[in-house]
Amino acid sequence: MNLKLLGETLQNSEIILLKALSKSKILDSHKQMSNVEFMRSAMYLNNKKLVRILKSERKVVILLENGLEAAKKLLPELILADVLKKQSLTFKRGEKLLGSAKFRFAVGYLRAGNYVRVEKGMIHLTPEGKKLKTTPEMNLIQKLNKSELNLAKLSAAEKASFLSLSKRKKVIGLIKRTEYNVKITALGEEILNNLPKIPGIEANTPAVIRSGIWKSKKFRRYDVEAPVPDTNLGKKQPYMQFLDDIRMKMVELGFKEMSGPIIETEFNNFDALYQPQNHPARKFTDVYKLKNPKTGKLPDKRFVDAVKAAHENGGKTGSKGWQYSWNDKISKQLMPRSHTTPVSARQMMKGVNIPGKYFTIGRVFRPDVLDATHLIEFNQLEGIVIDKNLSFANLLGTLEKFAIEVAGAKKVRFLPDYFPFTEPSVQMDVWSEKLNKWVEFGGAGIFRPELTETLGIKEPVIAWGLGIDRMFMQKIGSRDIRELFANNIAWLRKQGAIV
Amino acid sequence: MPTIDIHKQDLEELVGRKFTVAELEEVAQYFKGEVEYVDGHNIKLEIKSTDRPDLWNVEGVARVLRAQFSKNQGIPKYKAKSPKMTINVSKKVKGIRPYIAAAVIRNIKLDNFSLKQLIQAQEKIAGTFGRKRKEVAIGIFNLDRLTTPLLYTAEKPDKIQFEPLDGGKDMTMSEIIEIHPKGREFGHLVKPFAHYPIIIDADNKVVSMPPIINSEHSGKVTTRSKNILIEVTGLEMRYVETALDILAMSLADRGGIIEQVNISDAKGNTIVTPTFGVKEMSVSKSLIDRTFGRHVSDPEIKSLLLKSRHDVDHIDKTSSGHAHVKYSSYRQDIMHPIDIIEDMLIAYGYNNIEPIYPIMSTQGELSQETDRNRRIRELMIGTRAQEISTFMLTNKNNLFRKMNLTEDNIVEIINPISLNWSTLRNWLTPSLIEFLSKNTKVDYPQRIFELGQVVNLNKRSETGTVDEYKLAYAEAGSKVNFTRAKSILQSIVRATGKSPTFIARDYPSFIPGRSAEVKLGEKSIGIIGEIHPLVLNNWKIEVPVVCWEIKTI
Repeated sequence: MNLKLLGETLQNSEIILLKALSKSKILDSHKQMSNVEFMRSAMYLNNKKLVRILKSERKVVILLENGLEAAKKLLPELILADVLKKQSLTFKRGEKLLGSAKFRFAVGYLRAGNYVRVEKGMIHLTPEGKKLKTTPEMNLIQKLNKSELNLAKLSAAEKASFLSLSKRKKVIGLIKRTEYNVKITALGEEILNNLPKIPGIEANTPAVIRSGIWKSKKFRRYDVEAPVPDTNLGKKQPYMQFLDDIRMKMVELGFKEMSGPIIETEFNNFDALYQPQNHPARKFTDVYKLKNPKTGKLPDKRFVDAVKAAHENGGKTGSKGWQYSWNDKISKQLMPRSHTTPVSARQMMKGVNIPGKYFTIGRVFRPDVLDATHLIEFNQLEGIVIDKNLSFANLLGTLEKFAIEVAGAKKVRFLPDYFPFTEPSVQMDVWSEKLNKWVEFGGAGIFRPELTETLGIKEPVIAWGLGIDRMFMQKIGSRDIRELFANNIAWLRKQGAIV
Repeated sequence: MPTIDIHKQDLEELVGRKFTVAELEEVAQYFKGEVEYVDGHNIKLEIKSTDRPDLWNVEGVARVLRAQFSKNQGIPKYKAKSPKMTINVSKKVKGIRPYIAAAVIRNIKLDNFSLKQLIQAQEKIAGTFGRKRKEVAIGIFNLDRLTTPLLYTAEKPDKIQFEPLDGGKDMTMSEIIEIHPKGREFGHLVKPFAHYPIIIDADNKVVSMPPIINSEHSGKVTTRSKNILIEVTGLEMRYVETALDILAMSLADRGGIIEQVNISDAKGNTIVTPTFGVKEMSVSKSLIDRTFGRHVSDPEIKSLLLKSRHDVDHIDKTSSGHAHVKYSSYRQDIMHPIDIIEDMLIAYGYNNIEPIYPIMSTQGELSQETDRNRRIRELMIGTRAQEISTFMLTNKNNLFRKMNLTEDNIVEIINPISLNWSTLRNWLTPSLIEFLSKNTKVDYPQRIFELGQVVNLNKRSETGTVDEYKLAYAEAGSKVNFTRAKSILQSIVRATGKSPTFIARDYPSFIPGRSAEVKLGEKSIGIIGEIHPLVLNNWKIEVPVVCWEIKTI
């Protein structure tokens, strides 16, 4: 910016400061300005390279709690001397007067200065002692009681008192103060010769606009290049944003969103999914159970009867079943759902469109210890696809499409897997360029006939469940899964809106 | 998931083919396995088939791989010699542990590998398949130290003494349960009974105390043992026989000669084990075609079945007919024809199947609540508040005591990992206050919101509870003010086309005179207020906080 334009950016306070600096070269305050105004003007000028702000640190001496008390009541040695002026004291009386520690210190101080002598356990003032009115230490305390003092500027005598008082407990202390001095630059000197003849209009107001004064006068220029602080924008939580994006992609792929309750019966969480009641995954160590409330209600009898038959002997599904005696009491027990598949079970009981595609994203709960790789509750993405004649090849096609379109994977592979409620079952891995290896992405399969036929569906149902949390971690390159539910607002404020 | 340790050279000898580690990683899919860890020839495999105990040792893995790489296909066939020894079963075990099956293996040459595999298989099968020995327990004995016939019976815990394996001295059965490590681990399986199961030989020597421990006398099998007896006890014959078949097959794979054992009950009924039973299942050809997503020809069906170690009786010519399949009875996991079809798909190779994305005309749609929640969250972002997301699991201390409320009934977990996570939240505000309490060192003002679920008890509901989405907002800082918070709340509700009213009402969490009930007409939808300093102290927050929480109607 040329000098003329730069001159037009100056506010009145900046001009006053520059002029003052032109005379005295260096300043740390100005009579006409508050400290805040002075610093603000100096900062503006500094940004425009018209002044330089010199930062320096100095140590200052201040009174601490015992020093503040002495400022009110005198130091113990002076209190003792005052008493001794009236009468000599035994040690016992002296200790009673000041307390043992302070008394011993005061006697020591006064003896060293030859202000007292001790004879046969009695303390007497010397002639010098009778003249004692104050001490250098006391003087320093009184001075400090008025204002803090710059350590570097103490006189030799004050420095000695400072050292002496430093040895006493909590009388004086040192703290750092940062000081700013402002110095004019060559450009600053030069600009003073280039100030506009008529000062610019400062604030643009409705009055200014109406008056037409702007036709004859210029507006003061702003320093538009000056740095400004950040604004804390209102932002979505990054993981919630990610889930929003996934939901939109699912909708684009033709999926309808389902929902189901957080607290589920074991019927929906397990039995309806053909998981036998003695299955190890139903144990206390693997899933949460409730103290309150304990039991819920079973669905329509036709589903309950069909599920019971499927477990016991396969019912009408062409299966042999698990061959045990199914217990409806276990089935009624409530639990926080351990996966999102009960949401699919509910949807099937409610009825589905054929062809139909459904999904849900929801919280699930398992008794894990919270650490960098485990959450106590996490999110699952569950999807089902129903149509006449859906094949295993269609399952793989759906998974591949999903991995590529939704998760942004480049390459996938499939491995045989086992889940109690799907057959055939598959694990999908995606190739991670970052880690240079296959990473497990999720499990899927075709729901077992014992499951779908029992819930009234004749057609094959492709189903998959993904721990979507790990997908997000990969996306943001996080190693700590706890960041998903970050409780650090500084971290949240830093996150971009586009992940 | 079972993990098993194998030795690569041992596997190669059993399969008759060498493998690189990369090849092994590739072929592991045929037995639903994954190579977990490699250290020279020592390999750790994870077997994902929690329903296939026949795959939980190297012999089982080799059995699958032989079918892929040689003509050793179809049902694994094992010859068993007729029984020479008998186990008599007393009726006393009825109602305690009723079933026993046994096999003799003669002329076995056990080396360190095979002995290790035998013990590993015994542990995995009894542990996982046998539900920690409840359903199935396995004993392996040095046959040459036994006098036959054996008697499987049950006796009073203090009646009989013997030296348990690694016990060091004679003990009664009750002492074993109190003192011996295995007794302490598995004693609970017999404790409820007045009599404990026991196997005694013809010389009245104790052989074993199933399902707890073998005797030191005959229960020690080493590489020098030539002839061994395997005995399996349990609650259901189908599981007992499955476990016996698997162990007998594995030892036969190592050159042992299987000899059957007579099992005679008190009435004189005798069965022989092992039987290596074969079962039949008809698999509809149209289900095969539908699942493969293409026509699978009869020869291909046959070839895939054989590779899956099943036999084919015959295949109907018509396309609506069936493939009549024979499978080994140890395949207890086979319940439905679809299980056999999965075997065929695995034998074919998942990655040889071309994925086909099904073209379907369906209309995607967000649920009403997601759609509404998303709009509300966007309005909140417009107020420049930061969205947060917190756990639904919390505890009563946070929900009640720290909020200056008296405890109420809420959803509680009976088996929490930590008391910190022992209830589900019934309101959202404590989550926000907790968040603020973790950020007291960060610049103020802090303005946050969460739209999240809470769970409340409801007796009439099917699940005893009702979930609800709530919207909560909090602002913290030296200059926060009630008016702005109220104004934001009012504007958010108005933006949804409704108009809230505010009724002055005191709540224990808020400063008296500075809180209100929020209503829509007659219906209460939430609260607003300035948090009481008492509550702020509880959370160690030193700046004023104003907050509100409403239903997202």
